[in-house]
Amino acid sequence: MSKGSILITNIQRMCFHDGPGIRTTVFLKGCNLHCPWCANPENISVLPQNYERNGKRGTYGREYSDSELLEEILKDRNFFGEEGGVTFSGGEPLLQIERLRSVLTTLHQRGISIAMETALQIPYQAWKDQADDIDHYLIDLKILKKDICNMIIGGDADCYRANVRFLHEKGKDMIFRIPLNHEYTLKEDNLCLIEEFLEEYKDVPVEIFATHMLGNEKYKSLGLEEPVWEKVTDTVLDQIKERFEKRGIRAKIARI
Amino acid sequence: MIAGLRNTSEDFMENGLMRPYTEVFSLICRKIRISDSENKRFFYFIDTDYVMDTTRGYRYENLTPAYDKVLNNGLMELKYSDPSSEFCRGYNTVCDELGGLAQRIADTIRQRDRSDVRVSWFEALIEKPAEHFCEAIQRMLFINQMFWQTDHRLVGLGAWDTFLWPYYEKDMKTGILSRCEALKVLEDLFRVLHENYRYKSNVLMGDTGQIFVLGRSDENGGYVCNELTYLFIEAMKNVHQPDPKCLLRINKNTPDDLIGLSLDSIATGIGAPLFANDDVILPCLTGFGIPIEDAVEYTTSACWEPLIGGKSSSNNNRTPLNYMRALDNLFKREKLDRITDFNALVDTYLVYLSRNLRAVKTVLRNHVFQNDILLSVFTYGCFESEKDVSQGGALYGELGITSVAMGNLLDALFNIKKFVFEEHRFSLYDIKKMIMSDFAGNEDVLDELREEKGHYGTDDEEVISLTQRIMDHVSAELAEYKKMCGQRIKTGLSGAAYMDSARGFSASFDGRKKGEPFTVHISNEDNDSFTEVVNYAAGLHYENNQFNGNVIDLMMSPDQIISNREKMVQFIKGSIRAGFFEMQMNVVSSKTLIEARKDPEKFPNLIVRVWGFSAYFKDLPEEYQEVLIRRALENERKAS
Ligand code: SF4
Repeated sequence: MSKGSILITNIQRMCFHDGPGIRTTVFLKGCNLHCPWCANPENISVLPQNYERNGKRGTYGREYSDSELLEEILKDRNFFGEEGGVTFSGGEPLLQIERLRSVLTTLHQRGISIAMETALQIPYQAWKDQADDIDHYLIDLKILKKDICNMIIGGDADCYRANVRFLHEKGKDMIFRIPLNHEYTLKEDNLCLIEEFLEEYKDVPVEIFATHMLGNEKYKSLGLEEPVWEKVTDTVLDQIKERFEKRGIRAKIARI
Repeated sequence: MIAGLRNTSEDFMENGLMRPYTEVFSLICRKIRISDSENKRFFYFIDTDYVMDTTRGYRYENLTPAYDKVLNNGLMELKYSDPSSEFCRGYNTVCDELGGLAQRIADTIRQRDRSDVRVSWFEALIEKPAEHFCEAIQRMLFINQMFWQTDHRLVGLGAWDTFLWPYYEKDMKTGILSRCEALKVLEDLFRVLHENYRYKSNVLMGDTGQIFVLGRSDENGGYVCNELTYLFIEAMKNVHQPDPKCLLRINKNTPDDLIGLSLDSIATGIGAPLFANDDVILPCLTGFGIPIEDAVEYTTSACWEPLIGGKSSSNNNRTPLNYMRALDNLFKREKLDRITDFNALVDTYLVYLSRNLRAVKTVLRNHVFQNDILLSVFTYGCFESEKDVSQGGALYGELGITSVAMGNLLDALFNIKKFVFEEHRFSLYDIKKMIMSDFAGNEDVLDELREEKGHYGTDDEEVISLTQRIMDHVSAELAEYKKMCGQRIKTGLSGAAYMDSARGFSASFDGRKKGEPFTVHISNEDNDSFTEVVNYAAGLHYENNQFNGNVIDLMMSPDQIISNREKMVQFIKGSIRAGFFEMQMNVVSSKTLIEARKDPEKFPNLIVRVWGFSAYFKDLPEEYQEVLIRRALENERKAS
């Protein structure tokens, strides 16, 4: 891959749910985790992938040069206003932070707000140089038990905790997002760990949402088995919100 | 009664000939049946059995009279003190007859109830300026009803928030009026104007042209609005009728809460207010030679075409230009093997377009307008010049054409570019065959074309520049018209004829079968985001004579607005910064529409937007219902 080529599966404009204001969300391909409930399975592999959907073939992933990506993002600059901007999502956007370096710097210099939607399980030493260019961190909060985290999603809970601390100490704007499913994240011991963890970061807002199956068509298109989830009802979401609030954790339900 | 039906009287004829204007006008004022409105706050009526016959020539319509003339003056004060010409004498007769009718109305009300405050309103109207808020509204309603009575159609309302402001302020100060009471008054105003809904409807039910144009810029780009600007929108939202509607003029200094209130109103489904972006429109008007002090007073012709309210007799909707016609003719008449690349195709298209425009210009040249003294009384410039509007008395008067099918044209051109000149899959002859045969035997190609993403309304540089090239060509050709007729002619990308012009029209290579409707205004249901179509519209320039209505038409579900209200405010503000011209939102869910088509009884009040107006869904012909359902479905795919 030539320098400066950024692997992207999709660029979605006028997004209302990926950070403050109106945003353009860039979905970067490649993830270091493999959450069983992932809604973007096409963003896990770090290589382009062919797919077939309703008889149509195509490829997930296309390389953008810096200028192409900038041009696409800047198309909606008039709509960003003071709050909006660009959100890098994925996949794990931090995986491509090196390749994004010049794009991030340019956007930052032009005063365009940058958000990262990240699982935050890549050691901060690898991305700390860019950390200040990024204005908002939308951080997944999934499984905190060390062995389970590693076993189920291939993650590193210690690294995660260290990264969160790093950003918090820097005073960065953060929000935690917790995908809830009965099979993993809603397990009682995990919930307790999450509560304890959140108590350390009471100033950080929390968003909870039910794991959904909106990505299932994509599993099919890749020839993968579609995951099936026990439904997380609104009542459960309400209960969790209440439970968090009792401990002084500000939680909002995001209904998808 | 079907939409638009009116009856004239034998009285207006003498020996088989139409009596002169003033005689007919006098008969009307003396003989129309006087009846109170259903809503008793204001006295308002139209005697549909005694309507002026306007078949003597072309009739003025789509205009906004100068209602404000009767606020600072009584009717008698409008007259010439020394009428020297026939025009001046006719002008005075019209004022006198209006005064006579006002007296008849006052007498009628008095007979029913001596203490009715409206008696004094009508009596004062004859000789004195207005004093109070409700009285001022009653005066403007009286003038408005007379325009309908004399068979004007699509009678605009204009800047009533500006006109009424001094009276509102004064009554508030003296404690005669409260904000809450004023809201009730305005709700009644909307109800009264809606009462003759069928009579006022033009081609389709709901197409009445009754539009309040609210808010405005000052000469330095500041934003001017007042409490009434808000109250008009609130009243419209509360009354929840398809008509009358409001257009809100906005600029980059418009307060967020006014945009927010507008969105709340739009989200109820009434689809109004419409938005017009002063930051783009005003430079077009001044560039056209209209001084800024008049330009800031612009209203619109029924829906979209800007004109200077009360000062203009512009005929902005004379005829539609069908952009697809020239491409269709090209395929039918041109030696196709001469066209060897895309550029040559576009060049040849423009040659055919010029021929079409010649036909349009000939149609326009043959339009002779009848004299219209009532309109002359209520149009600035006529009194001063002592000339009827039909003689060019108004301060401003141009012609305008609308357009259809720019979207179909662009999509067809880009499809041809790809299939013929890039992929070499077909020759132009193959395409001709497909168009002529309505894709018979080529259904697979038709499907493929329908799958193609629309180009029109995307912010791709190539699409924008091709659109501009075609627009500029039309603009230059129309500029020539002035030499022929002395009148300037304007054009724009909005038009109501997307259904009518498409009826029986051959298939086209954008994936449209014969007779299927053309695209609506500036729209693109294939877009992944609304910002794309806004950027497209903002990327075009509308100077010279190209500002005759250029509206983006967005289809949204109510939920998209309600659950994202603050972000939608940001979207509108972003659209202003980007530089859109005009915008309307059709807010409806496909589910509701489909149910309403099945079971109209269940949704008697479901309102939708059609071209520039709102209407009850149940009143629409089936083909319009179909288009709305299709567009709603496509939009919801975008939101999911
Ligand atoms: S971190 Fe996100 S993208 Fe990566 S596997 Fe998990 S859910 Fe999918």
